[in-house]
Amino acid sequence: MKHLARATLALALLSAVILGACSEGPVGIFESLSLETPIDNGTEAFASQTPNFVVRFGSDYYAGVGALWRRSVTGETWSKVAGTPTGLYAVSAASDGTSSLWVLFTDGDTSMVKLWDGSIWSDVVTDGISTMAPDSLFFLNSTVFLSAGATDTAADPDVTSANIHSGANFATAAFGLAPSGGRVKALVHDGATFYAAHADDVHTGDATTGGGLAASVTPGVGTVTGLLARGAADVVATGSSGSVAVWNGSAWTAHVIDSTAYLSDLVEVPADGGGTVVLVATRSFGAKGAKGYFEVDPSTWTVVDDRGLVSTLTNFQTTLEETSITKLYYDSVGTRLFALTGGDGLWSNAWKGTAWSGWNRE
Amino acid sequence: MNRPSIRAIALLAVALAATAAFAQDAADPSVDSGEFPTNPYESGDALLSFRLGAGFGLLNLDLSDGSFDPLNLGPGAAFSLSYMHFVARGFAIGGELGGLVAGSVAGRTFFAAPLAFRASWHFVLSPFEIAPTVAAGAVLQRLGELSHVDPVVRFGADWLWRQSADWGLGLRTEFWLIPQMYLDYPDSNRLGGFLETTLTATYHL
Repeated sequence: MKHLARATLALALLSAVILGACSEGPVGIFESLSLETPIDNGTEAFASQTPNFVVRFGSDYYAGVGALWRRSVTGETWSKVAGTPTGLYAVSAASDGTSSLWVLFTDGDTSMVKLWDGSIWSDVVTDGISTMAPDSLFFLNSTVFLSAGATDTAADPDVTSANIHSGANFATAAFGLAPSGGRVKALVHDGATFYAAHADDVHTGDATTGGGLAASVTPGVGTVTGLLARGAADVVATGSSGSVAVWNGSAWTAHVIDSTAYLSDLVEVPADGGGTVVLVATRSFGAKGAKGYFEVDPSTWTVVDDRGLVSTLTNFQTTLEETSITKLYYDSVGTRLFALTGGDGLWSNAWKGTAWSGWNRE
Repeated sequence: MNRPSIRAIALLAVALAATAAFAQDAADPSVDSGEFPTNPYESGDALLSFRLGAGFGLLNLDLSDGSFDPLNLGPGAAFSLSYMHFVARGFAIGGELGGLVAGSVAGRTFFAAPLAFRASWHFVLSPFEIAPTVAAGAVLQRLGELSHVDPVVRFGADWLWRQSADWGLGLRTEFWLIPQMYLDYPDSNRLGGFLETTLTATYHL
């Protein structure tokens, strides 16, 4: 019996260690399992990738995941688009939705903008930014814009100026100054005024006019990472400090979302149960870990706790909970929401008129 | 409950019934009748067993309303290490540490580590042995960020071929019942059930 006593003692000690090491979750384990929905493996080429953009053009979605990919709005299978520049990556795109898709290709040294009309690719002359490094395309208020930064030398490629370009050959530069601190991260239009996110500031004015974005205000959210135009003089900015700031036409008002998070983008979408919800994405940055996204009530700018407005809590936990999200894109025509992640591929979630389908891999 | 779960439980019940019937025939394992040699396990003997095989999630009963929910787990791996000490001829008690790992339909990993006290009755039909067994203890479970400790009851049987005086090889079929209770969230209370089928190697110490 001595052996048995020793074994019993050992088991009891081990049991105490295990019991002391656990913590209770917010819902039951078997309950959480019962609420799971199958997650597809998704497109093999998207696995562990960092998509650059998704945009709808006509009845297709286009995605920049290394190469340029396309799928039907109503389909599921992505395929590479033929006729794109060899050896260059698709890094940004903008579309008028019906007749023109502009795509920026680059390999870091060579860059070109191509125009796709649905059947033929044509080159877009970019003489106006010949000395600049193009970064992002935007289509707003019937105009295509290209943000670009000037770098000092190839060996020391710090951005020394940032501009928004439009017009023929992208020759019109809308910034009236040459600020340092990186390139333009977002550009939106509230129906009357353009807003451009750059460093810690938001520049406002007319982006189609030379020097038209000279005015700037600091929202007080750290580095401004994303902008959302909800209506006239109603613009929201996300920032690196973990706060959003709301512009009412005369001043920014900051609201803390999570001071331990690096907010990366935002989008407003329909909410389960009615109304809308603003999704605020987070990304990993430095010591700040990714937390997927927050659901934020746009009437109070407070976080909704239960994560039940665009998916179930279990669906969120099994998909994007701790994922670094670099961009969000909502297509109101196809009623599909995309989450572009940093290293975990492309995810989407479809609005079915009254409820969301839940997140799944593309 | 889905049909595969019902079928698996039915199969398990048949196996246990067969085990019980066999055990009834060999009610006195010490009798040397020629057909049933003397049970070689005497008080003071001990068995060390290693098991490795498959585990299946079969049952997810919602205790708040009595409905059956899907457990949404695929086939997983099960393993265990046990030490059994004979306190009477053919009857042993001891303990066991094990594990069950299975992937969910959403890509999460469910892990259960039961730590249990066990009793087993060993019936010998040389060179074969059947050992009905029951166990009770605690099981640590983990799913993503969720973790919980609950009681566990396990019952089944080891089906062994006595390869030598020291070694026995065979199969274990065992059903686990885990009442998962959340005092603060009674709607989350569930009764989970798993079937373990493992290859067994037993060493007679």
